[in-house]
Amino acid sequence: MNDMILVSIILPIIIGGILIFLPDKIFADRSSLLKMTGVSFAVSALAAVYVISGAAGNTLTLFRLVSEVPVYFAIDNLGRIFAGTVVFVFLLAGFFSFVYMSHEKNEKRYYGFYLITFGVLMGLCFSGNLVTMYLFYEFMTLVSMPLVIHSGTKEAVMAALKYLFYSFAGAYMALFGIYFLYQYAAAFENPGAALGGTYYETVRMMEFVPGGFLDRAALIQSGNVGFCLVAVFLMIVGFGVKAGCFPFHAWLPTAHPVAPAPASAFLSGIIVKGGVLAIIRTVYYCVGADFLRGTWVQTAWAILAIVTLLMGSSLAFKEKIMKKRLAYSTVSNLSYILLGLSMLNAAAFTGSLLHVVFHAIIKSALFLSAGALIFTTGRTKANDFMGLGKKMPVLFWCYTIVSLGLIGIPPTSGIISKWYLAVGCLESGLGALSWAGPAALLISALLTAGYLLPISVRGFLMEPDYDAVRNDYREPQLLMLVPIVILAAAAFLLGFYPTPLIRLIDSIAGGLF
Amino acid sequence: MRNTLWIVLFPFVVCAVFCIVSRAKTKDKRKACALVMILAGAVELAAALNLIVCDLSGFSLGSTFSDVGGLGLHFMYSGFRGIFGMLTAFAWFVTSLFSYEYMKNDMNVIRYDIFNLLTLGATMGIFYAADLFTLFFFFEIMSFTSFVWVAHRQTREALYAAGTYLGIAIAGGMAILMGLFIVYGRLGTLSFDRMYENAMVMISSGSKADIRWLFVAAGCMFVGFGAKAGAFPVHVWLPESYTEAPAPATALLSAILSKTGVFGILLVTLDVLPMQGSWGVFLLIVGIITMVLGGIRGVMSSNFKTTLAYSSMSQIGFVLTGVGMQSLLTEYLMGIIGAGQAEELLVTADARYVDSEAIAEITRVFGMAVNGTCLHMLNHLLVKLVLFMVAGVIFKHVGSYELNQVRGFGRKKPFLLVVFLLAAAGVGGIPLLNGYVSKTLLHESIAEYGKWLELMEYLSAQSLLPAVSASAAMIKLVETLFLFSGGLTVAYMTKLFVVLFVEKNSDKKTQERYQTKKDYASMLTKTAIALCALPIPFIGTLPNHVAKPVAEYGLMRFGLSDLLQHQQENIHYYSLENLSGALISITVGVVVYFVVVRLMMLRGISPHKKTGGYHDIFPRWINLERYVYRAVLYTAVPFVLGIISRILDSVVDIVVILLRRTVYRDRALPYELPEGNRVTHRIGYTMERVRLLYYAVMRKEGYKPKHYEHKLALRGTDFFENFRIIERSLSFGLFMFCVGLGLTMIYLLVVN
Repeated sequence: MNDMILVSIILPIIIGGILIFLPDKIFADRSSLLKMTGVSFAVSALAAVYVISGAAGNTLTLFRLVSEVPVYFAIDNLGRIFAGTVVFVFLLAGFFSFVYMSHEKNEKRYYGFYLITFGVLMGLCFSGNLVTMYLFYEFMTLVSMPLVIHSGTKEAVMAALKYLFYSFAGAYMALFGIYFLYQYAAAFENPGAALGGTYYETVRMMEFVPGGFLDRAALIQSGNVGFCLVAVFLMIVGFGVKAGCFPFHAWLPTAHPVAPAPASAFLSGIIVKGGVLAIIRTVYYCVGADFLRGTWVQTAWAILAIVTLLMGSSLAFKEKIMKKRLAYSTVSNLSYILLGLSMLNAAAFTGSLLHVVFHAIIKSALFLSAGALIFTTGRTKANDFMGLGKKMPVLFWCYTIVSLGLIGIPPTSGIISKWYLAVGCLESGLGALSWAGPAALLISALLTAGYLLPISVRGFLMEPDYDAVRNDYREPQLLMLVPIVILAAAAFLLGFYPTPLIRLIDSIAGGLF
Repeated sequence: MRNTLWIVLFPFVVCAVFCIVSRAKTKDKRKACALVMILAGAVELAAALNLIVCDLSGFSLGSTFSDVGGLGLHFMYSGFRGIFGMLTAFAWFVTSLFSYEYMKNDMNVIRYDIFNLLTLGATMGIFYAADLFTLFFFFEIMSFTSFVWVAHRQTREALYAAGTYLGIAIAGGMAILMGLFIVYGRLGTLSFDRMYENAMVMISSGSKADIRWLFVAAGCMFVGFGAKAGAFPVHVWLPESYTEAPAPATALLSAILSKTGVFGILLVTLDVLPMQGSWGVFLLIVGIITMVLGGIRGVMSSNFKTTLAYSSMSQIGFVLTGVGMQSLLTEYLMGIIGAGQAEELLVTADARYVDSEAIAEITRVFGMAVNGTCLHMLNHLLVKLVLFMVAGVIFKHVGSYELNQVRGFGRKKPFLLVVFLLAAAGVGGIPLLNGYVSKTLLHESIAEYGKWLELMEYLSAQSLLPAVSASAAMIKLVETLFLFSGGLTVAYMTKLFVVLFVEKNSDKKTQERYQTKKDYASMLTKTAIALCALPIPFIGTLPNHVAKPVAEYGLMRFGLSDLLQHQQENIHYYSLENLSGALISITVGVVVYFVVVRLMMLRGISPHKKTGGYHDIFPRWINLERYVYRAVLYTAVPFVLGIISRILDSVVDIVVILLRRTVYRDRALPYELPEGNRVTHRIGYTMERVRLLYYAVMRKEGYKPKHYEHKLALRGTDFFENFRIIERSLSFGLFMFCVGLGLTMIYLLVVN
C-alpha cells in the first residue's frame, strides 16, 4: 500500500518521459498516439485514485536528503481533497485535449509534460514534510512551463520566461523561510532509530503536524519572534506567487491564456492551487494558526488578498479577450481562498477549501468551454459569440451554470463557499477587515456577473452577427462536450448537496483549530 | 400532501418532465404544452388550498430539506404564507389560462413555459420559507428565471430592459446576502422565529453598536427586496421591464413578484428590527416617495402598459407606507406599555395616555395598519392581474400600447368595460370596491396615529411619556400625500378608462375595425380575467365578512400581533368620516385629470390632424436609470476601479522594467561601431530620439528619420581626417610653438 504512493507519483512521470523521448516514427498515426496516451492517463489516474481512496495516515520515507531531512510522503485528508480534485480535472481536461490538440503541433510532447505535471502534483499533494513539498513545488513550476510555452511563438516564450521568473522569485522567498523554520522545528523521535538505521535519537524532519511543528518555547527564548513573522510572511507571499496574489500575480494573466485551452484549464484550475496547498501547509501545519493570529502578518495578508480580489475582478470586467478575462478571474478567485485562509478560523478555512474544489471545477469548465468555442469558431474575443447559444445549447448551458456557480447564485456551488468565507470573516474579529472582506467578496461577485453573464446573454438572446459567424456551427464533438458537461454537473451537484464534502473539510478543520 | 415541501418541489418536477416532453415532435405540441401549464397551475392551486384546509383543521405544517445548499432548506406555514401561496398558485393558474390564447403564435413558447414553471416553484419557495437563507435561495432563483420573461421578445428594447432587470436583481441579491451575513453574525440564526427572539433580547439589552449593525443589515436587505417590490431608489428597472415583458408575465411580475419583495421587507421589519420606529420612519418616507412618484409618472405617461407599471409602483408605495406604520405603531405600543408600568406616571394626569384603554385603542389602530397592508397587497394583486391581462388583450389586437393607438378600442365591448371598470375603480379607492377598504384602513391608521401624536406632543413637557421616532407634523404630511396619491390613482385610471371606452380613435377606419371586432377574446381568456375580477366587489361591499377574516387569518404572527388575535372589531367603513377620505382623493383625482391630462397631455387634437393625441410630458432627461445607475455602475465605477487596478497590476512589471533600465542593466555587447565613434553615436542617437519625441508629441505626423548618427559619423570622420592633416603640417607645428611661447610669457608675467 505504502509503495503505491510512490507508484502513483513515479508512474506518470516515467510514462510522460517515455512519451517525450520516443521518436515520432513509432506512432503510425495520430490515433495510436491517442490510444497510448489515453491508456496512460487512465492508468495514472487509477493509481492515484487507489492511493486517495485508501485510508489517511499511510506514510512512506523514500530516502534522506541530509541526515535529518527525508523525502517523506504522508496521506492526510487535506492531501486527499487536493489530489482528488487534481485527478478529476486532469482526466477531463486530458480527454478534452484529444480533440483540441488536433490543431496543434508537437502533441506528443504536450501529453508527455501533461503526465509529468500530474505526477509531480500528486507528489505535492502527498508530501509529508516541508522540504519534500518544496522540491515538488519547484518541479511543478519547471514541468508545467512547457505547457505554457507549447505554441512556441515569441509571445508564449516571453510568457513562459515571465512565469519562471516570478515563480522562482517566489520560491526563493519561501526557501528563506524554510531555512529559518528549520532552526526552530520541534524534534521528534526518530522512527528509524528503533530499526537501528540511523544514529540520531530524534530528528527535525519538518513533518507536517496539524497545529504546527514550531518549537515555540525555543523560538521565544531566542527572541527571534519578530524575525520569524517576517520569514513566515515571506513564505506566504512567496508561495502566494503561484496563487496569483498581489503584488506578484502579473505572470498569471500573461502565462495562462497563451497555453492551449486544456492546459489553461489545468493551469488555472489546478496548478495555481499548488500555491494554496503550500500556504495551507506552511501556515496551518508548520507555523500554526495560533502563532499568526492577531499579528501584523495576518492583517497584511488579508489586505493583500482583498486588494487582489477586487483588482482581479475589475480587470476581468475590463478585459475583452476571453481567455485573459478568465485568467484575471482566476486571480480574483484565488484571493477569495487566500482571504479565507488569512482569517485563521474554522469557518473561513472550510470556505477556502470548498472554494478550492469549486473553483477548480468551475474554472476548468470555463476554460474548456472557452476552448471549445475558440476551437469551433476560431474567435477569441468575449463579445464574438453572439447568437451561438441556439447552435450550441448544451455548451452554453454548461457555461451558464458554471458562471452562476462562480458568481455565487444558489443552487450552484459558489454560494456555499462564499457563505462560509463571509461568516468566517465576520467571526475573525479583525475590526474593519472583518466586514470589508465580505463586502469585497460581494462587489467582486457583482463584477463576476458583469464579466461572465453577458456572454451567456449574448449567446442565447441576441441574433448572430451574420457577417462574422458562419451558419454551420454545431455543438463541439462529444469528446470535448462530455468533459464540460461532467464538470458543470459536478459544479451544480456539489452546490446542491455539499454535505459530504463539508463534513470531510470539517474533520480537517477540527484538527487544526 | 400535508407537506409544504411538495408544493415547492412540484413545479420543478413538472418542469423537468416538461423539458423532456417538449422535445417530442408532434403537431399539437403547442396546444399540449399550454394544457400542461394550465394543469400544473390547477394542481398547484389545489395543493395550496389543501394546505389552508389542513391548517384550518389543525395540522401543523412545515418541513425541512436538510443539507441542501449547505445550510438546508426549511419551510413553514402560517396564515399569511398560506394566503399568498394560494394567491400565487391562483395567479399562475389564471395567467396560464390567459396564455393559452395570448401566447399561441408567440415565439419561444417552450422556453417561456419552462422558465414560468421554474419561477412558480421559486416563488412558492419564497412564501413558505422558514428562514432567511431559504428565502434568499429561492429569491435568487426567481430573479434569474424571471429575467427570461423580460428578455422574451429579444428586441433591442427588451434586451436593454432585461439588462437593467438583471443588473438590479444581481446587485440586490448581493445586498441581501450581505444583510444575511450580518444578521447571521449578530443574531446567530436565520430562522424567522428565533431571529425575532434574539433581536428582542439584543434590543432590550440595548447594545447600540449591535443595533446599528442590524440597521445596516436591514438597509442592505431593503436594497434587494425593495428592488423587487419597486421601491423608490431601486425601482428603475420596473417601468421598462413591465412594458417589455409579455402581458401574462407582466401580470405575474406586478401581482406576485413585487409581493415577494414586500414580503421580504415585512419580514425584515418584523423579525430583524422589531419595534424600531426609526426604521418605520425610513419605510414611511420611502413609501411616500414611491407612491407619489409612481402616481405622477403614471398620470404623465402616454403608454397604456407603462401607466399600469407606474401604477404598480405607486400601489407598492401604499403598502410600504402600511409596513412603516406597523413599525411605528409597535414602537408606540411598546412605549406606552412600558410607560404604563412606571409608577410616577400613573399619578399624573398623563396616565390616561398609557392606561389600558389607550393601549386597546392603539392596538386597534395597529390592527388597522396590519390588515390594511395585507389587504392592499391582496387587492393590488387581483387588480393588476385583471388590468395587465386586459392590456394583453388590447395588445393582441392593436399591436401597440401607445394611448393614441389604443384609443377607442374598448367601445362596444361590455365584458371589457365591466372588468376594466371594476379593476380601475377598485384600485382607485372608489367606495363599494376593494381598494376603498384597504386604503381606508391604511388612511385611518395614519390619521389616528397622527391624532395620538399630536396629543402627546402637546403634553411632551413631561418627559415620562415614551419617545417616538415620528413627529405629528410628519404624520400630517404623510396623510396629506397619502390622499393626494390616492387622487393620482384616480386620475391615471380615469385617463385609461376615457381612452379605452369613451374616446374614439382619430382614425375612423381603425375605430370601425375596433368596433366590429366581437371575438376579441376567447372564452378561456374571459374566464381568466373574470376569475380575478370577481372578488373585487365582494371585498368592497362586504368588508367585515370577506376582508376581515382574510386579513385576520393572514396576520403575521410575531410579538405584539398576538394582542390582535381577538381584539379586531368590525369597522364602519361606510361612515361619513371614512367616506370623506375617499371623496378628497376622488376630487383631487378629477382635478388632476382635467388639469394634467386634458390640458397638458392632449395637444393638437382635431379630426384632421393625425399627429394629435396624448404626449408623454415627463421630461426625458430625468432618467434615474440611464443617467445615474447605468452611468455610475456600468461606466464610472468600473472605469475608476479599472484604472486603480491597472496601476496595481503593473506595479511589479514597472519595477522590473525600471531596474533593467537602471541598475540591472543588460550589458551592451562589446561590438565595433560600424561608423563614427562613441561620441558621435551617442549624440546622434540622442538627437534622433529628441526629434522623434518632438514629432510624436507636437507634430503628430509621419516621421522620417534624418539619420543623425550617420551624418555625425561622416562629420566626425571628416573632422578627424582634417585634424590629422593639420596635425602633420608645418604650420601646425609653428602654431603649437607660438602657443608654447605665449604660455611661457604668461608664466613669466604671473610668477614675477
